[in-house]
Amino acid sequence: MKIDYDIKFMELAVKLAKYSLDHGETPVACIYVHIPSNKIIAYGMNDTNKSRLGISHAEFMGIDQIYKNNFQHLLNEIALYVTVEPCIMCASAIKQLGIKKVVFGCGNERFGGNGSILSIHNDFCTLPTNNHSSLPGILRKEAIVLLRQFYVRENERAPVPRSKNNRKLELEEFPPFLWSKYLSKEDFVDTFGSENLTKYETDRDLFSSVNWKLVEGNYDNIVNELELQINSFEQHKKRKFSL
Amino acid sequence: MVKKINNPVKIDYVNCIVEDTLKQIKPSLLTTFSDSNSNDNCNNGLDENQKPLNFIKCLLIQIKSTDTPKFLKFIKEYCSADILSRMPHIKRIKKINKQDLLLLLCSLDFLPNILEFEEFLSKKNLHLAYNKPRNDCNSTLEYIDIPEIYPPSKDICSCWSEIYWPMTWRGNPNDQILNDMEYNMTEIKNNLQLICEKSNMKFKEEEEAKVSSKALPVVTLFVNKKTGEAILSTDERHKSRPIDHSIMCGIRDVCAQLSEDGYLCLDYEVYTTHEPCSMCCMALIHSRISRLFYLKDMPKTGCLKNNYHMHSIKPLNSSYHVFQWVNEKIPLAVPNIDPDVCV
Repeated sequence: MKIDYDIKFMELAVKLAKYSLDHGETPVACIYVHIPSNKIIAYGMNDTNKSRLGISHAEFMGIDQIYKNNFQHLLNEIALYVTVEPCIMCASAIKQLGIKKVVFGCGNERFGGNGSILSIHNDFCTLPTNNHSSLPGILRKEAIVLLRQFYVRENERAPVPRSKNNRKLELEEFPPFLWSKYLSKEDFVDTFGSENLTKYETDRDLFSSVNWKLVEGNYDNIVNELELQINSFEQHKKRKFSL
Repeated sequence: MVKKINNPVKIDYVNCIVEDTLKQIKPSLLTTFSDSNSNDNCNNGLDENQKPLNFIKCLLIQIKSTDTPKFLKFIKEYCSADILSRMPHIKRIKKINKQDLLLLLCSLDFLPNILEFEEFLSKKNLHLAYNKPRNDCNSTLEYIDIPEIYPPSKDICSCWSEIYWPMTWRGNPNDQILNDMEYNMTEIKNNLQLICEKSNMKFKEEEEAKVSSKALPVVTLFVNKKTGEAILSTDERHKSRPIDHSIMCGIRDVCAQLSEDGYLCLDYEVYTTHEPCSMCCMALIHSRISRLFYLKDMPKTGCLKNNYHMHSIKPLNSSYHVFQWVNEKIPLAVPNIDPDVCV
């Protein structure tokens, strides 16, 4: 399928989100990929709870890394894979940086900037020359399962913590996915093929089952693995320059 | 909280201007309705833009009018956490005839159906007599839809009362918001003057420099309401990244010196020279600020007054108030910026 690579990278983002969950953070994570070489050049995990900085979303942590590693000249050759639709702030930042493509799992019904609340990625008031393509719904159920596992816990740092005793963990039921909010029919067919069109029309997921193995795995090594991949990209770049 | 007529602050409620100086950028919620259709007749139905967008489903029961105090006591005692208890304009009771009336018990979020109510009563060992109400076609009517928002005008209020469920007009909510707010005009003016001067200074430096640094003359001030401590930030994109706008830098600076019990920018008010872009407006929502004051419009890229009204978009779980300096006697002019630039 045309989206085989997209799924592969999104699986990594899901693993990283699971790592976040296991380490007490909101399970939202992302991977930045250099499109021409299909190599990972940065990653990010939500850090708002630990840092008490309301803007340290996963996307921003990844952007920090891109700059730290001096990859900023590659920004317009980069795709972002993130488990949850970027919020309005992140969608705007990504657009202002000139990132070319955004792939995400589930929608973000409260803050989403790639279709849920606003469509920053193709609006006219945020550098319209930088519009990026947006691909929703990749491993959506897996992203939702991780979020649900997080939201049954309470936010002790909030000024008035809400009691969540009566919230039950729902694992088998998923809300319909309103593709048309995020993607035109033409773009859907172009990416997923006309054989999947009924899913667009009936608001169903691409895959009916949840990859439980993926969301239940332990990924304590994932950060090391990603760092190794980023290193190898750096070497790859250096070799290219020395030629 | 003072009554409107006793408020020493001069407020023009029609145009939303405080002391001829600060113009409120109205929440989007209140601007989605047109205020002009006062001749609208309820029987002809409501204009599309006068219909509420969202509803709350609420449990409805039929009781004897003599039992009213018992039920109101029940609601007061057990339903205080329900959303309906935070909507005092919604009446609880609607008369059917001399003996019977309809009672709006609670939202379905609180008790999902009549069975749960039943169970609740027996758990608390309460004995309250009620019936399931019936509609005109004589089928049972267990719940009804109540408009989620407060009616935007008196006329709409009486229409909604007829169509949906009785409610009382308690005055324009925005008047109340403006009336309840504190305005330390001297402090507000001083803070805006400070960023205005800094901005013009930056612009001048830039003009006189031999080599342009490409710095944008955008300046922001974060002021802690409790301690008075102020943090000044400037646009840093020329030195670092295209997203290091003055507001983003300010939020990071506030966080860097946050006290042990501080929560994001909850205690801060923000003063900024130019209307912020989509990223910065949203970053301020995430940071939980309470108020923002600004000087100059950015008609293409600004996202408070000119696009989106982002400080008050409904589904976002938090909002802040926005005022623009409009005093022509004390003009606070800041440099023009390329209109396509996001600040």
